[in-house]
Amino acid sequence: MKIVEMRQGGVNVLAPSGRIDTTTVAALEATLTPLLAAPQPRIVVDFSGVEYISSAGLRVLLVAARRVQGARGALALCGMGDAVRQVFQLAGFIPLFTIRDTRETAVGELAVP
Amino acid sequence: MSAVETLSVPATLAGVRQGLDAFERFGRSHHLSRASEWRVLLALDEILSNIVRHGHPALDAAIDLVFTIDNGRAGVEVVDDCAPFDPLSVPAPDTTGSLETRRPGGLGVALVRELMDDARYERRANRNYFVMRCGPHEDR
Repeated sequence: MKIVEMRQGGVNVLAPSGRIDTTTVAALEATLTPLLAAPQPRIVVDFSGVEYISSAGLRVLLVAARRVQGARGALALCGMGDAVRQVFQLAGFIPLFTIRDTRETAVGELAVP
Repeated sequence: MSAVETLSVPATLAGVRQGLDAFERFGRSHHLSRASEWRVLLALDEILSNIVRHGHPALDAAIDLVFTIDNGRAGVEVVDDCAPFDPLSVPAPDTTGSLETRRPGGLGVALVRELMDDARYERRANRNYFVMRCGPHEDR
């Protein structure tokens, strides 16, 4: 799975593409781990290029959300298509995350003033 | 219009990837809707990875797969020789707890139950048989 990584306004933006499942989740985890180790991490994960996410991916995001909260940082998810959104809904994950429609909105909210 | 494909993959993470890639190719070559495709791939990922992680597969263990498409309806049969495991017996997951208390166990199987139109497990002659069906789902 390809993950494009960039920094905008002091926010780390990750844009994975393809499927997030057991076979690809290690790449997402590897990309998130150093970001989560920083103080007050600000991370946006853009799902625009993601076809679907399975429970393996949900688990990684749950851990990331907890670590971000513990580090008094911020995590936002954006660009969810129907498949990703439906899985989040079925898993009851919508209330656990900051979810925005576009990357611009998500980065705008998390950017350091 | 109907089609069938059978294959065998090793009960390893690499085998899971082979199985998913094979279904994607099979679905696309038979014009399965993308709406059905992602549902089946997700469910297959959950079922196959459960076997690899919880089935204690022997080093050379294999998982047999049968893919079918019949008028837009996809079917997958997963057969393995690993420890008896009925995915449908896994209790429903916690979907309402807070971020701090939420436990993700059982989510994968819950997704399979929700996304598949039909799912059945059987233990027969020392093998696990899991059959699931999905669709038709139209692409918007």
